[in-house]
Amino acid sequence: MIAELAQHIVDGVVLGAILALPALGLALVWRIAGFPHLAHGSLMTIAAYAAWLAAGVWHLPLPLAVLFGLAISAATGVGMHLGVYRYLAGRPMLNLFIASIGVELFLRYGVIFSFGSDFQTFPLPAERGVRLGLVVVRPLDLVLLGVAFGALLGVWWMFRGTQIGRRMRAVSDNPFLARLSGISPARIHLAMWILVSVLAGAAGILLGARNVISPTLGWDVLLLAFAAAIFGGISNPFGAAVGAFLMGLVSQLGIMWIPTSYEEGIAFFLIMIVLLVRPRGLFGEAVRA
Amino acid sequence: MTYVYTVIAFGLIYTMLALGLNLQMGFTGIINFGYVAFVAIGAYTSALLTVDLHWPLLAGWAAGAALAALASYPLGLLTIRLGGDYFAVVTLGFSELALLVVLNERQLTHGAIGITGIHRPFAALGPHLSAPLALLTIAALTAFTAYLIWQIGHSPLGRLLRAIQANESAAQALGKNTVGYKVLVLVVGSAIAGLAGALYAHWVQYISPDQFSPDVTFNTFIALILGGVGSLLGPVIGAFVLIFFLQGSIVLQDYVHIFSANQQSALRFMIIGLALVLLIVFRPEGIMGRMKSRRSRRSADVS
Repeated sequence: MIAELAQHIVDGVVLGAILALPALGLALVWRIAGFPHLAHGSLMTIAAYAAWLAAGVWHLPLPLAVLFGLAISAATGVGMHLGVYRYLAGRPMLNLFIASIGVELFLRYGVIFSFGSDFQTFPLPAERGVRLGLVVVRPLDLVLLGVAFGALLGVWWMFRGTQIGRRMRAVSDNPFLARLSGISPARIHLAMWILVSVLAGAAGILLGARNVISPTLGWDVLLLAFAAAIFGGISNPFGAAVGAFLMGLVSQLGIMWIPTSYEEGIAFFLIMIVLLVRPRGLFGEAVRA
Repeated sequence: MTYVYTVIAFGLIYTMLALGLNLQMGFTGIINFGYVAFVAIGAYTSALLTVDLHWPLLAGWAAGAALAALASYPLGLLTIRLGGDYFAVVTLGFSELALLVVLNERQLTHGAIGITGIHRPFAALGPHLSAPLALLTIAALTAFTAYLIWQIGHSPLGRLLRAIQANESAAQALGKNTVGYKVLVLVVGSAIAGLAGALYAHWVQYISPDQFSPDVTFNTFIALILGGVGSLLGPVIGAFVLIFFLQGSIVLQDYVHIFSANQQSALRFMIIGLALVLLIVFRPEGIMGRMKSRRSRRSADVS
């Protein structure tokens, strides 16, 4: 029982680490660009497919393949912003929201068009679980945790220590005041899209390496990531990351009692409860108008 | 001929879906991204009652609409006060949850296998007569729904709903119970979605969970935006343009062999996605938008 519990906690932390990256990105887009970004899952999927293409088909070394995947997802994110969302700035949220569905459909079916709907896997060496005390951990999961925490720390440093990061926080806190202080929204938006695309791409590659790569890889976890972002509080990107770990834990502990097939349902109930009890999320500062 | 019937039937059913969504989004500004959940509830309720419990057809349809409305009521009470963006994400979650229930509760819903042997209206008259008569029934119900929505749109209630969309605080300041009206609109729109779902189930005679993916919600949004949000004729035009494109590209598949079948169907959805983006960027007011004055065009933008 204790061993089982510990195993679920480990799985929950790993799931949380994967979710934290897109959740942080979703919170940033929601705050800075002002809409729930439905095409975020496509960024994950495209990065996974690009990395798979480089590693599995072109036989590039793994680090290069990962870099290629991240570059492609960054390019996709910038393309979305410059090609679509930029023209809709200042329009009602619904316009952006629906445009992001169009982008999601275009990209998801673009992936199916190019690669088919079969599952793909990364050419990774077979691995054996490592026993750590009570639990068995896949070595890949340790890599995954390291990358996710590293990325989160990197973003934290960027927000505290660099000018562009501080400006991004300023725009996220209060776009109007930020503009008065002479911060150009155009550059912040561009930087934000690169950042969130790389984060989502990293999550997509990790998820693809852990499970399989499919055209709905990103879409399948998008709702969980949204739930995590809302859970932690949209107004605070790191709240969203913490929310992701809590989401991961709760959903993995939940499947001890609830059938696995309802894992996504747990996310839905969590969003509902959090929004009813604390509409701004666990770590949110204020309700956004 | 059968194929023409099916295209028209799908066009009418999507018209009905777009009408219900127009009531929610176009009139009142409620962004319901879990719309397909209520379609599925209507379809499954009617199919299960008529196939497994041998209820009469009309009772099945009524129960489908009623249960869809009933399911939306608690959801509305709990979540309608949330900001529009939160509400959209929560309803999307609701539709995923509904899909999970349909997939997993096999004893009740037959799971992934789906339900076969759903009767068409007038099935006793033989296939040659039943198809046109069923089509007429769907057309009559769609026309009735359109009439109902038109009546609502031109009543004091319709003006109040538009007021809620334009400025909810102002409507509240006038002493209107805006939350109550929004829940009402959610319930009525869901009943329409449920009825459309029931009609769909009895037209295609076979339903399974994969027919009720979020793509149905997205298609309905596309039909509505294509036609013009908030306009009365818009949903009809948008729905038929969408269905002609979807079905037309399926027909084309039989004659053009540049890509594989899988690629062609993927291409179809890529075009839909692209069309949606172009529409939102260049013509957020839809095809019918041009006929409206600049003022109402701006209010369509606000939605």
